Amino acid sequence: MKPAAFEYRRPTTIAAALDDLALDAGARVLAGGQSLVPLLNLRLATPSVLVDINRVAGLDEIAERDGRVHIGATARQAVVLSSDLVRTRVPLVAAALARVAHPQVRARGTVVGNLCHHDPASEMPAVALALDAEFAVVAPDGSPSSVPAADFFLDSFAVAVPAGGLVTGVSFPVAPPGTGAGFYEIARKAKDFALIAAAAQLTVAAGTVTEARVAVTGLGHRPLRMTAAEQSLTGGPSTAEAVRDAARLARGEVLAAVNTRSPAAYRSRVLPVVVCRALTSALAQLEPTP
Amino acid sequence: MTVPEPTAGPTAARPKYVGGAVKRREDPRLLLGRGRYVADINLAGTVYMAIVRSPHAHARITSIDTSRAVAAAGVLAVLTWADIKDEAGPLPCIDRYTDSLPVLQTALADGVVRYVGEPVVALVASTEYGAEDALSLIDVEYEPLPVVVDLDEATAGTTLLYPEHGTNVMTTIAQDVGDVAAAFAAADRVYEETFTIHRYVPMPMETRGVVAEVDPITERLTLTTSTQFPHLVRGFLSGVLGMPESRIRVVAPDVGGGFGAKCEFYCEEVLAPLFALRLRRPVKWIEDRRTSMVASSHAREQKHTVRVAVQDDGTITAVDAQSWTSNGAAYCTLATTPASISSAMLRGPYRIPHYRARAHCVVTNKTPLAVYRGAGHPQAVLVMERMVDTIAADLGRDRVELRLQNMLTPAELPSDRGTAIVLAGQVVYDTGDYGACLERAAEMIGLSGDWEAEQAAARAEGRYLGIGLASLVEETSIGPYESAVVRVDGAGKVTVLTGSSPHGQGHVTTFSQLVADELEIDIEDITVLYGDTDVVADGVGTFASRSAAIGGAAARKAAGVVKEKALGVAAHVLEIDVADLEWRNGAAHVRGVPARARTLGELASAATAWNAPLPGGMEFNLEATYQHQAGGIAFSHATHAAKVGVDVETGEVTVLDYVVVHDCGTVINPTIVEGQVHGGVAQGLGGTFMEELAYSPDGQPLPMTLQDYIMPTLGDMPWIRTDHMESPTPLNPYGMKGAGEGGATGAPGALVNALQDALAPFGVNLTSDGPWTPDKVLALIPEDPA
Repeated sequence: MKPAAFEYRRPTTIAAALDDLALDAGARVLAGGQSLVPLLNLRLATPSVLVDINRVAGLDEIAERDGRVHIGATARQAVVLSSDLVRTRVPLVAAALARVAHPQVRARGTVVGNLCHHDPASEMPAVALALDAEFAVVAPDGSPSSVPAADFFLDSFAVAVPAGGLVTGVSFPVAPPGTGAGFYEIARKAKDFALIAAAAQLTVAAGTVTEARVAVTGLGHRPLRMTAAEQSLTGGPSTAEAVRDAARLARGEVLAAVNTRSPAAYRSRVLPVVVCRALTSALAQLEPTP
Repeated sequence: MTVPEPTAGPTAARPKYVGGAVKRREDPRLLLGRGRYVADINLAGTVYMAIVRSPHAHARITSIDTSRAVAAAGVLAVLTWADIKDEAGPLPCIDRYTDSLPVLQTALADGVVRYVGEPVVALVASTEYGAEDALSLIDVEYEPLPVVVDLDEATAGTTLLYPEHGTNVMTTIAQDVGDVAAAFAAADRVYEETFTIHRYVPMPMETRGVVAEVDPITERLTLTTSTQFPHLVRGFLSGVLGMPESRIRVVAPDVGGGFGAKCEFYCEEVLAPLFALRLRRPVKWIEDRRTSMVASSHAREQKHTVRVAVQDDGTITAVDAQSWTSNGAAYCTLATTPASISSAMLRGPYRIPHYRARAHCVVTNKTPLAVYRGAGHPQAVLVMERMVDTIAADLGRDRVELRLQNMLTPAELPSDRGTAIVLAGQVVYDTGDYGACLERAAEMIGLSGDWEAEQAAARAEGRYLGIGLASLVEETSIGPYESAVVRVDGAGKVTVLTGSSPHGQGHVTTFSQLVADELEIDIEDITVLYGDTDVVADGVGTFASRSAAIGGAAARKAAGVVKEKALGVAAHVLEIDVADLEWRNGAAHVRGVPARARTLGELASAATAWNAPLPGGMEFNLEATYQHQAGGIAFSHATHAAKVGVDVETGEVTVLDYVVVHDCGTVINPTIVEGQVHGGVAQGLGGTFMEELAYSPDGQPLPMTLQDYIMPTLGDMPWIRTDHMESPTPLNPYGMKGAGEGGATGAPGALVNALQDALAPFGVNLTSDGPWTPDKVLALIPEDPA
């Protein structure tokens, strides 16, 4: 394991982290390192400065505020996955996170780092898009902003963070009462990257779908929201038949180049299937358990 | 089984270790992270080697400029082919046929590169990072040449890797048994099919690595290398460098898996010594995973065409087969063995009296191909077992019955099959009950009266289930020999030296079991040493499922000689005729006088130089060296039975149940045999559903890391149920055969047959071993299966 030479910085405050990131245009942020360190070792990434934010105080929060669950930039996937707050208040996050990597990786990897890395075969961007996650971004001058998921994922391995800026956290809206979450993924092996995966959340009141959220990863260079399926479900009955009909409306441009592991024709064909299964599993959560 | 307690009285029978599930003695150390692998060895003053490898699949090197690297701070030495060609001969291939064309590897490319990853320039720097940095300072210019990666194109020979030979076919192996032409002329039916077997690789968890150092006083070279056969490496290195073996010590420390990839002699095992000899500093190189993808041997890739002659009653009378192995750019240490085994063993357990095979070894612009767990067996089993299922389906016959009808029975054994395997010899099946094994596996997987109804009912619900069988006979325990030394110290502790250097198999446990039973002592009193040519003077290695049967037999035989020596010493000490002594419970006892006895330790002490003088002619020290010669091949056999479920909407395949009924002769340790079976099945499952070392048409390997080369993990494995049968071989006194490779040998055939069974309603005919990834499976299924 032989990365190219880099300068290592370990700030303890956000302001210091921004100063370190300002040292060079080639500076990169290191959080859990589960994506970046392999790239360093392969010399596919050769940052001049590595800014390790693991000692920045307060970035590991998992907390509910103002109707949203906030997950800090250094909160480990394993900690997030085992959080009761996450499981009960944003169940789709937990459902998807269980499919992200092996326990050893999750012990070190971070939810935010995984989202910022934005591998197009990664599970969590679909969840962020489906739930309208908000990313807390600090610009190089220290000014904070909130970037919605719909604007955050730009392209494979590219997100809307200005050069020298830092993502300090992500927040997801708390699931309303009567919500079921479902995640369905096809992967080449257990815990592997997705060939294609769908994240779905249904909110139902008195047998009627009041809100439907569906997004799919693995189709193109960014996750896609299945708006036609969502519209078809919203206001209609929360039935298996409605779900099947809605899943047939799942559409999206499927790019061959984005996933050499799986032909575009395959992903096109299974798109309605994974959407249907994610929705079905969301629906199943709403049914009273016998 | 629990470890036997020492028995109280001298007359009580002592429980045997052999056959018991003794816990692996090496595990506490390994599982606590106390293994010592090559990468863990850090000698003072170590410098680091890095290698510039070809980015082209086929190119002429037009210039090499090392000046920038030579001038760089921290770079200590740079070598090209021009620098070493007078001192490093070609790397050996030990399984060449006499008519094989010479396409040997050299330690660095000799003007033409023929695969991506071929070593071109080697350098050493004072740090590992500096060595990696310096790679970009080496300027090599190439003139690309036409590339051939496809087996058919390579065989056609329009693009040649070695124009001087006029062909890419380096060897054609022939096997001829009976009168094939007459059998086909008389056949009621003839079935013909072509099968493709894809390229996948052993991928041991520990990559390769070497440390070479030269003792400045003695001038001796020590090469520590992650290998399966340190003694052969010593011989190969001696030959390549023209250096006497007495100046070479080869050490294999803990080795984290090999599976055939480390049963090879590699350029780094030459280059690191060359640098160490020049620099007089320890030179270290650890293969990283990306390099391992192209620099460690590849495996499996073959194409087969078979014609099968069948009578209407189901008797298979003849097979006429051809195969082509994609050997990659040059011959490995073991290059023709896969083709040889495939062609010699294609008929498996079936009688098939008439047989002809032509197996072509073809060079292609890919990493050289060598043996991998099962060598040529998995390919042959897949081909034969698919054909048997095809014939059964066509004849409307039960697939178990049709197999039984054609299988050799125990009464027909031994059976000279009329074929031969390179290095190993004539194929003469020794013992086994193939039919009973098949019936047991079929019963365990649930292939009984209700299966077809169950399958139909599940299909009606949209669940596509399938059961697949694969029966196999497998060459194991090849020779030529293995060495062992057993010695007893004055405290009665026993040291066993074996030339069969392990890399995960559990030799310390099984060899201890064998020796403990022979001497009737506690297993804890035994130490097993291996993997150092200065400690173990002679040896062959661990490959071809040979260690227990050949190395284990040698160890037990040596222990038997020690026992005889101990009885001789006891006769002297007790002043009694040796005929009046018997060996029991680790001591020599006077028959009928239980109290008069001498323990192994007492006798060993008595035989030392500083104790009682022994009578003239009697050897000092309780020590014996034994060389066990194989005297033939022991053939293990098994039937694998897999049950799969196919998701016809997504193409995902789930292995629902997996059964292996295995016969490796006398079982020393059932837990270790099961572990071998499980690991082999995992590799077969990986190859069938996930793993592929694919190349682009221009010869670029596609996977770069384990993110692209998909291997199964625990989460992908079925619960494997095993059952043991024991048909001891007469080829060693203890009946053991090999157990190491049967898991990998049977899995692809059983899994593909299961997939075929599940997808039969869609009219599929699977003629490849995959990998059956979800997209490929789904492509077999119509868009709307209803």
